[in-house]
Parts: sequence; structure tokens; C-alpha cells
Amino acid sequence: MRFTHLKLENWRNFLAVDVPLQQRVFLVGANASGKSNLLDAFRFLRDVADPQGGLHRAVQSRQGVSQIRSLHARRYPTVAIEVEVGDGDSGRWTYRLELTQNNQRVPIVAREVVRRGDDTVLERPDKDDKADISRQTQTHLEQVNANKKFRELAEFFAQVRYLHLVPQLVREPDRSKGLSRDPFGGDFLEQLARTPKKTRDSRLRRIQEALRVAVPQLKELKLERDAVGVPHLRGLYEHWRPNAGWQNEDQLSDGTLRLLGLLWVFLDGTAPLLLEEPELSLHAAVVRHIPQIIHRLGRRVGRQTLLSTHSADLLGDEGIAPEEVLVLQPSHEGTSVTVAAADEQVRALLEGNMSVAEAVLPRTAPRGVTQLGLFGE
Amino acid sequence: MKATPLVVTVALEGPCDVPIVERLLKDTGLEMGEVYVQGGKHRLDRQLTGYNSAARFAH
Repeated sequence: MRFTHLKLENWRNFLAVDVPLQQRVFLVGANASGKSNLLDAFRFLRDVADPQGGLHRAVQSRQGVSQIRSLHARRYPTVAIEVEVGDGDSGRWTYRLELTQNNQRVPIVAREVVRRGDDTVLERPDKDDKADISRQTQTHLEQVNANKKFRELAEFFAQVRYLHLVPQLVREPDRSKGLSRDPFGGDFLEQLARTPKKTRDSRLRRIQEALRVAVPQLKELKLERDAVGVPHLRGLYEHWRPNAGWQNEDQLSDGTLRLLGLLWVFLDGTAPLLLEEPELSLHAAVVRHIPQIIHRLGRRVGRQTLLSTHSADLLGDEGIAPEEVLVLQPSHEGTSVTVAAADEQVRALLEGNMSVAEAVLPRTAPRGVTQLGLFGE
Repeated sequence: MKATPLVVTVALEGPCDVPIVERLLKDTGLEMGEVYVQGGKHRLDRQLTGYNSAARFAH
């Protein structure tokens, strides 16, 4: 299954978003245009559906409804997320959640709707909600005893994976102690260590093969626990003295760690994957191949990937279709999101043999950016 | 009522041309819109058809 459509109302930077989603989605926009906030809508659904999460926790971890609600929201102050999910075989699901808060700033479900095809599976608030207002502090999505008819959808949301690996956190896991499945990599090595040995070794071998191209000096990779049980990633670098080149994760470069994390997460699971700027710390020649890897993942295991990027190298891949690119453009009334293919000028530029990078990136550059060059004058 | 300035999309050979075009547009009362900077004249020439097609949809 994958997300096929997204609608947002009053969600962070966005007053209204209504876009179709492909197997690969590239989010392109200026700094602070809302790329991460758009990805956060999917993370929010995951947090609500997570058995250890729920609506209250998902909202509180984002500092309340007032922080989620768009500053541009006026007449209709509820925040709404609506997604369509499907794969063409098992029908199409629609999930809509509208949020507000009460006087005590407790998040309230203003509306929750689940549809399968044309059939309405859930429509809230119902008469029980109206009789007991406390029921509206929880979604049915998060309740096992209430989501039986759409458990498939709840499980799908809960599996969404987000990665924005910070090499410093991988090297110093103490900074994010106690976190589980930390998207910033605080428990990345622990995640590797928890994976069954056979699977882990197989994946590390595949990663090692791929890394050999990007980091030719790296000859071997292995995971070992130290005397107190802390997992360490060890890489053997080519050296004239045999076995002299073993290095721990704290000596591996940022680029090596980020690429390793990226390749690991590509192999780990089939649920939708959210990536923030996967090009960070990587050489342009490596970045150029990321769209192909993602395409292959989509074809082989049906995995959907949504990523934000500023990289001309990444978007320079000739296989990227304009239907896969969402362009975010900030304005005084919030950020608008459009599919690049819907823009006649972009289509004309692409027909003139330009890549998506050449046609789209200049449209997202801030006006007067040349003034930055004068900084320090 | 102040008229909205006309926004011009520009395609240039290289980044050094940007401030020159910006100044020219400013002096003629126009505003610079999107800037497509190419790496040299040959690349710009190759893309001209695309830019001309895209210009038909300018508004």
C-alpha cells in the first residue's frame, strides 16, 4: 500500500494542500517553505496510529494544536489531514482527521472519517461522542477495540518510517538515550544490533558492496558489542599493514555514516519512507544515483519514498517525471504546493530537454538571493 | 493606485550576468523574477527553444 493523495487544511505552513502522490515524491522548495512540515503530516498520522502513541502524545510532542495550526488560518480554524491510501488491488482507503482544542488546550477530534472505496466505515462524532465529550480526546485510529474495521490502515500508518540521520548522534548515542527508533540516528547502532544476526549480516554485506563503490578504501564492515554491551560499527580500511585499518563509528566520516544509514533504511522494511535531504554530506556522483535506488525499491518491493531536497544533482536524474515533483512556494497566505507537471512553464522547459533540476529549482530560489553574496561587505 | 511592476523571467549565460540584468531591469522599472543561470553560451543556446516555449505561458 502507499499514499496516493494528500489534503491538508491549516496544517503549519499550509492553508490548503490538495495533491496526488506517486511512488516517489520529491519535495522542492526554498528554505523554510515547509518541506519538513509537509513530511510531518505523515509522521503525525504515524504517531497517532502508533500503539505507544496516540493523538494526545502526537499533539503534545508538537507543543499543542496552536503550534500545528497554520498562522494563516482564519475562518475555519480546525486543522485537517486527509490521505488516500491504496495499491490498486485491495481498494482505496480514505482517512480524514480534523482537530481542534478545548479551553484547557486538550486536543479534540472535531471529525474523523474512514472510507473504503465509496463505503463509509467510520464517521465521527457519532451519538456516543456527543453523549460523552471525553471520547473526542482520542481517535478511533489509535484504539485497537475501535479500529477493527480499518486495522489495515492503522497498521500501515504506524509503519511509516522517517529518517534524518545526524552522524554526531550515531557517534554519541548518549545524547538521545532512551529513544527508540530515533529518526536522527541516536539508537541507529542499537537498531542494527537488534536486527536478527542473519538478516543483519546479509544487509551489511550488501551495504559493504555498495559502499565499496562510494568509499573504495573501505574493505569490511561489522557490528560488535564492546565489554559493556554497547554496539559499535567497525569498518576495515585498506592499509599496508593487515588488520591495522579497523575504525569505529566515531572515526568514520559523516558521508560514510549517512550513506550507510540511508542504505540500511532502504533495505529495512517496505512501509513508506520519509527522507530529509538525503544528499547531505554525500559526493555529487553518489547523490545522482539516489533516485535510481529509490525507483528500484519501488519496483522491487513496492516501497513509497517521499523526500525533500535542494540538490540539483539529485533532481538532475533524467528518470524523474514532473508528476513526481511537488513544488512548494511560500507567499503571504501560506505555502502553496503544486505538482510540477501541472505547471505549463515547467512542462515547456522539460519538453525543451531540460532536467527537472534545471526547470524547477530556479523557480524555488528566493527573490534577490544575489544580495547574499554581499554579506560581509 | 500603484501599478504592479512587470516581473521578468531571465535566462543567462552565467552568474556574473545576474547583477547586470538586475540593474537593467530596475532602471527600466521592471522586476526580476525567476533566474535561470546556465553554464556558458552553448548551454544557453541549447535551452533557448525550451525558454521560448515556456515564455508563451508567462503571465
